[in-house]
Amino acid sequence: MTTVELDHVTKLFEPSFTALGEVSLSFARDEIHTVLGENGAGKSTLMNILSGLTRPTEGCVKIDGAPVEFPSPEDALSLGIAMVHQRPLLSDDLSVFENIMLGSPGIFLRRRRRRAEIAALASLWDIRVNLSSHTRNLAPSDRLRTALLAALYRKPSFLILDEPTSVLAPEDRERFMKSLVKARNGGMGIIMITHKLAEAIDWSDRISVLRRGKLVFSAPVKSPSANSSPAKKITPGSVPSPAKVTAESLSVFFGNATTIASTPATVSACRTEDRAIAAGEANNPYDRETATALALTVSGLTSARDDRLPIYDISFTADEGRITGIFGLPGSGIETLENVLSGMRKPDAGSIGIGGNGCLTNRGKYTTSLFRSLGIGFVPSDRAFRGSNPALTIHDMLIANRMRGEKTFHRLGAFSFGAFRESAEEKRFVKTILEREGIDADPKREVKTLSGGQLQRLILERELSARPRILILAEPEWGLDISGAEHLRRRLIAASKENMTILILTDSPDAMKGSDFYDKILYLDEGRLR
Amino acid sequence: MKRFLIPIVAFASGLIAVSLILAFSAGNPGVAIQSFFTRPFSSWWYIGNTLNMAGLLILAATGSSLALRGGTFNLGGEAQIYASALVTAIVLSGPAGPAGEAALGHGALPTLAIFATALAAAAFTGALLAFIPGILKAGIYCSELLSSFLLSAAIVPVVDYLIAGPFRDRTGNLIATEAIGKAFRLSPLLRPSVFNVSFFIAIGLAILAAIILKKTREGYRFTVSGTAPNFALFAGFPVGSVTVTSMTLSGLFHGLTGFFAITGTWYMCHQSLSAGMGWSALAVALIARSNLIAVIPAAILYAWLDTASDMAFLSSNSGFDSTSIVQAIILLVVSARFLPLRRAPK
Repeated sequence: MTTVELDHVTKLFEPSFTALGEVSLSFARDEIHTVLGENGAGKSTLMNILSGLTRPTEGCVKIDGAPVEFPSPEDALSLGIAMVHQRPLLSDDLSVFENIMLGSPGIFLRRRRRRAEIAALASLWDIRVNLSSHTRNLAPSDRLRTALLAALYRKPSFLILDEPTSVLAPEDRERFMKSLVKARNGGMGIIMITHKLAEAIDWSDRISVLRRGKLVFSAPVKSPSANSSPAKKITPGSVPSPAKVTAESLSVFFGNATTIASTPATVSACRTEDRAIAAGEANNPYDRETATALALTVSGLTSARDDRLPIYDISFTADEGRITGIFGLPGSGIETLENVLSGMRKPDAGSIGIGGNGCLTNRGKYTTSLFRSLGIGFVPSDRAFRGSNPALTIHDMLIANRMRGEKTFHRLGAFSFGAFRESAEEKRFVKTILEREGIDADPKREVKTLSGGQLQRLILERELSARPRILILAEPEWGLDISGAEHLRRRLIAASKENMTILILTDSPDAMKGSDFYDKILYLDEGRLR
Repeated sequence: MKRFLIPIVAFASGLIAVSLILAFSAGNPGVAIQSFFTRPFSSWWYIGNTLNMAGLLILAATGSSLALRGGTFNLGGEAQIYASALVTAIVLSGPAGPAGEAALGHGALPTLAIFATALAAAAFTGALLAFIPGILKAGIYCSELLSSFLLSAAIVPVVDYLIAGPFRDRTGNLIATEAIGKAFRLSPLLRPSVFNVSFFIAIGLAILAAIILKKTREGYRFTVSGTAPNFALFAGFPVGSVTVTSMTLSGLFHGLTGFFAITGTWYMCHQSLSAGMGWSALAVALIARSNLIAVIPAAILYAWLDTASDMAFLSSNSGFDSTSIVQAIILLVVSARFLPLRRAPK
């Protein structure tokens, strides 16, 4: 196999929603081909079609010019196309080795021989992961490495990678990209989705840009014949005109060009602008009188049971009406800290105090419900199953915060009519949020039809709209494109001005960068705050 | 395959399978197949009894559906119906039964109070038997699939023993309890069948449950906790209590089924009274995709299929256990939606 081609591929999720429209694009072996685009541009749909997760409504996929059909990822894999998702779904109850072996053909396992083969593959690719580890305990970066090994083990001709570097520590990124170059030189075709323009330009052989489901740009990066004309659609086989692909030339595809490189200066400008946003924000359906600010005080928090990534003696205060950031690289314990601070895991020791509400860790039921009842909102890092669920409708996902409390029966036989839902108001609220985020989607659509970035934006908006007194966000920038991240930054600054206490947990040090975004920055390393 | 097609395919498969078995096994296949389609509508007796059976199925299937909507699986329906039926028969016989009436005179005890006591006792028995697997799941993550099934498997022989032993009516040849008092029997509405008001009560309760699930905040929390437990937990919903509530409500509806089976249909609790009813209810709930309104037509169709196949096999003198065949085929096809439905690559 030498080429994979999308031939006039259209994907409709419902009659009114076109995820991809007539996209024709060719991918070659010996090439790192990066696909860029804003949230909801159709990148994930395109990759899902290529990897057999979704089938096109019209058009087809061609391999070496011959049309093929992939009813499932297994069929794509058998034809040499493997995909590694950013947050791969692995079986938590199996070991890394067993996850890699899942679905591999053959009757006998031949454990020893397979382990040796995988170890050789890991060394070739410079992938460091313990094959005997339990998947449940892996950090996101090691989950990605496991999925990558599983894909590579099937010896694909084409490897599709969705935001591969976003869960890697900065020092690992370059090493990872170099191994991609090595694989490309060995004859593998690499297809990559990323939001990082600089990374795309530095490492790609070809860049294509999708916008609102249409291919608006496709050209080689390093060739002198690159075409950077945004208006001209490049179809496979056409000859691009001479030009050089740069961040500036690509920025025209990403809304406001000035947001491409966020410097402290631009952020300061944003903050001034956001004071105006905050002052004028009267249209919120959740608006209520500005609440008194509450501080989140954590003292001596320790969670080191089981063999999960431990945290020790964590003490800090997220000051009222301020933005506090805790940075922790994958494996530092940042995941455990998120679980403890959201009520999903009771700490072994230490206390969490919220304003004057005493110590939460001494309460009988240490649950998210307890935290929510005290006015804390959450944006979890697991947006697929904690922040939302693929089987829910967009409407049901967005109204969750309005549905707590109010029982149907107060006492046996005493029916509470206040328990009835206010469907007209719910619809208005959902419409407002979708409009505010500029997402043209039927609320009855299932969440799984949203792109990753759209989903993240809706979760963020849902939590911000509930006006919590304290908002804890884990990796809030995840999946957002540059303009989406900028929009979030403005919303958070505006919220902090309205006395919301904001705590951001992230493993990406460059998230929300800008020296005056955070009022306080803490670093988590090996389970301890530095 | 489109999801909505699956229930239709399930029914069609049941029909085809019954027709095929009749065609190959019956002495006179033509007569047998004709009986299958015409006999259930040939008299009020058949029509009334089919609808009466549908009423019981609607109640039990509403229970099964409530469990599914709350994210649990109640496999103990058989014992919940059976034990509740026995409790009903015990409360409504003895001093309250015909013998008591003869000795003490009619109306010696307040009829309505005893009837209400029996109803509450039956509902409580069913609810308790499902509450146990529910609390085990919420408390120690014990699979309710296993615990409800095993509890049912343990309770059924106990009820069998109680009917054959301590509570057996020694005056008759049946292995059954004493008959309940005449005052407690629901009047038949379509004589000579036993069709009675329980059919309408069942429909009313199914619709009420559907409205509460759809229109109230608690209904939202209930269904979202069932569909997306992690999301619900993170949204601050009491997922554990939804697990317990869904199982308990499911058992309560099965308990009501046992109550109406005694007061409206059999008037005494005989051995194997609930045989197959719990599983049939689960089949109906799966066919209706746990939609509480869809349970109503699904139960009526299922009851018709059951009666029709009984008629056909009776007229053909075939020895097949028709109910089990129909049930097995429908469950097989319905469960296909849990399997990957995919086409082979071209």
